[in-house]
Amino acid sequence: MAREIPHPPSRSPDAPFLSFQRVSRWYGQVIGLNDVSCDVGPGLTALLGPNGAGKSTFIKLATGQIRPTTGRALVLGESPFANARVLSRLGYCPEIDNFYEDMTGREFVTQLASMSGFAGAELKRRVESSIERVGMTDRCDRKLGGYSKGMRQRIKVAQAILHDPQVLVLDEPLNGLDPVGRRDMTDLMSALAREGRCVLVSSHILYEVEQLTDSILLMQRGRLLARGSVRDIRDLMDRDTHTPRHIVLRGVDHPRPLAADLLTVPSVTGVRFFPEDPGRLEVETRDPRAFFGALAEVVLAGDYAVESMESPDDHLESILRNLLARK
Amino acid sequence: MMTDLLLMRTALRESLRPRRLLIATLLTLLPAGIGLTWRLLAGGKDFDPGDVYDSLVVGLVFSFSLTILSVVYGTGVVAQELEQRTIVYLLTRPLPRWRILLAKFLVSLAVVAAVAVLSALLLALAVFGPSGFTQAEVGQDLRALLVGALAYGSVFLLVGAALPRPLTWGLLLVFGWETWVPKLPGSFTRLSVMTYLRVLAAREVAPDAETAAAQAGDNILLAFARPPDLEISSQSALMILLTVSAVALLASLLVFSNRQYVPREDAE
Repeated sequence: MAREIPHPPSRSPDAPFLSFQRVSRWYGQVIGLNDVSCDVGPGLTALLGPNGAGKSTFIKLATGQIRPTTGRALVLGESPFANARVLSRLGYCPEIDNFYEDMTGREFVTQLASMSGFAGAELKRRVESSIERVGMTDRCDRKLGGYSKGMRQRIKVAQAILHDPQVLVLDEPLNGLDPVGRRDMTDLMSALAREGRCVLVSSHILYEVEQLTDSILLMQRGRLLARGSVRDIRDLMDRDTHTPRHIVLRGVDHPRPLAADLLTVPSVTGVRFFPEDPGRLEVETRDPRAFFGALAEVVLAGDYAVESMESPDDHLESILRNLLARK
Repeated sequence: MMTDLLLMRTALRESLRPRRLLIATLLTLLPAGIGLTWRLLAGGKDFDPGDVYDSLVVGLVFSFSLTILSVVYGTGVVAQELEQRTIVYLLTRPLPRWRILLAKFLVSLAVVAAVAVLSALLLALAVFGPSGFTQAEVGQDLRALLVGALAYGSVFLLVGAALPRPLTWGLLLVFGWETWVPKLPGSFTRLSVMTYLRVLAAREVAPDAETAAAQAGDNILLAFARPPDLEISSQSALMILLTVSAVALLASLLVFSNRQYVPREDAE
C-alpha cells in the first residue's frame, strides 16, 4: 500500500515543464547565475557549457536545492524548493559520486523509493523495474562501496527514474562511463524523452551532447549564451579542422590491439601509449563526432574492456569565447 | 512509517562507522577503567566507593562522555550528510524535511543515551564491584543522563543545522560555555545546561560549599561534582531542560526545513 503522494502541480498543457524567469543567484560576492530566462518543454534538452559556466547552479535551482537570489525558478509551475508536490514529479541524478557506501544498490534505491512515497508491493515493483531499466539487476545486491564508476552512475539514474518523474534532471550522467555504458545511457535518456518527459542533461562536452539532442541551452560565465540548435556550434567547430582533439581511454585491457583497430578508423590521426599507465590510451582525432560513432563498434567487435573515457574538450571553451565575442 | 524506519536504519549504520564506534567505545569504557584502576590501586584503604563513583560519574560521564558524544552525534546528524555530500539525495525527495531530521535525530539520541547509561552502569560496577553494585544509587544519574542526552542532543542538533563548522562551535560550547559559565558569579550559572543536570543528579558530595571548595582544590573532579549553590528544585531543573530540548529541537526542524544546504565550493 503506497503512502499518499502529494497531488501533482496543476500544469496547463502548454505551460513549460521548467521555467526560469530572470533568475540570478549569488554566493556571497560570487555570482553563479546571472539574469537567466528560459523555458524548457518535453523532450531532451542539453545544458551545455564549460566548467564554471553556471550549469550546476542552474541544476540546483531547478531541483529545489537552492532558491534564486532574484527572479523565479519554476518547475511544473511551482517553486521546487522543499515542495513535495514538485519533488514527487522530479527526478534528479546528481553529478557527485557520493553514496552511503555500506548500502547495497538495492537498499539505496529502496530507501529513496520509500522517501518518494512508495511502500509494499508497489515499492518493490518500482525498485526492481528501475534497477532493471539501468541494467543493474544482477549487481544490485553488492555494496555500493565496491561499485565501479559506471555502476554507480547507473544506480544514480535508477533512483532518479523510479518514481516515474515528469521532469528528469541529469547532471553529467555520462561521466566515467565506458563506451558501451555511454551508449546504454544515451539510449535510456532518449527513450525517457520520447515518453513525453522533460529530460534536462548537463554536459561540458559538445560531442557528447550532440549525439543526444539538437536542443541545447548554452551557458558561459553564469549567463545563458544561446539556446536552440546545436548546428551553429557544430559549424564553428567543423570549420576548425586544424586543431586536433584528444580523447583519453582508461582501463583498457588490451591497449595495443585496440590501438591497431582504432588506427583503421579514418577519423583517428594518432594513438599514444603511456608506459607508466599501461591501461591508458590517448586518441588524437580531427573529427570527434565520427570517432565517437566508430568507437563503440570497434570496442564491441574486438570485445575490448574500456573502463572509462574522457574528453577534456578544451576546444569548447575557445568556441564559446568566439560566440561571446560575436554577441 | 517504513520510510522513517529505513532512514533510521541508515542513520544507525552511519552512527556505527568505525571512527564513531571507536569514540563511543572509548567513552563508554574510560570512566569504568579509571574507576577500576583507582579501586585496585587503593586496595581497600581510604577507598570510599560512593565518593569515587560520585566524582567520576559527574566529572567524566556527565561532563565529558555525555557532552562529547552529544557534540559528535548531535552536530553530525546534518554535518555528516553534508560532509559526505549525500544530503542531496534526501533533500530532493518529496518527504517533509523535518521528518528526515527527526528520524536521524532519534537515532543519534538513542546512541548517545545508550552509551552514557552504559558508561555510568559500568562505572558503578567497576567501583562498587559485583557484590556492592546494588548499593550504588545510579537511578537518579541514569534519569539525568537520559534528560542530558536529550537536551544536549537538541542543542547540538540546532548547531549542526544552523551553523557552518558545527563541530568547532559544539566543542567551544562544551569546553568554553558549559565548563566556565557555571563558575561565573551570580546567576550566570543558570545559563548552563550542566547546572540543571547537576541539580537532577544532585547528591551530597560535599556537606557545604566551603568544604566543596576545599575539596575541589585537592581534586579537580570534585570541582565538577559540586552541586550548584542555587535554589533550583529538581522538578524545575527537569522542566527547564525539557523546555530547552523542545525549543532547540523545534528550531532545528524549522531551520532544516528552510535552509539551503549546498556547500559553497559546489557552486561554479
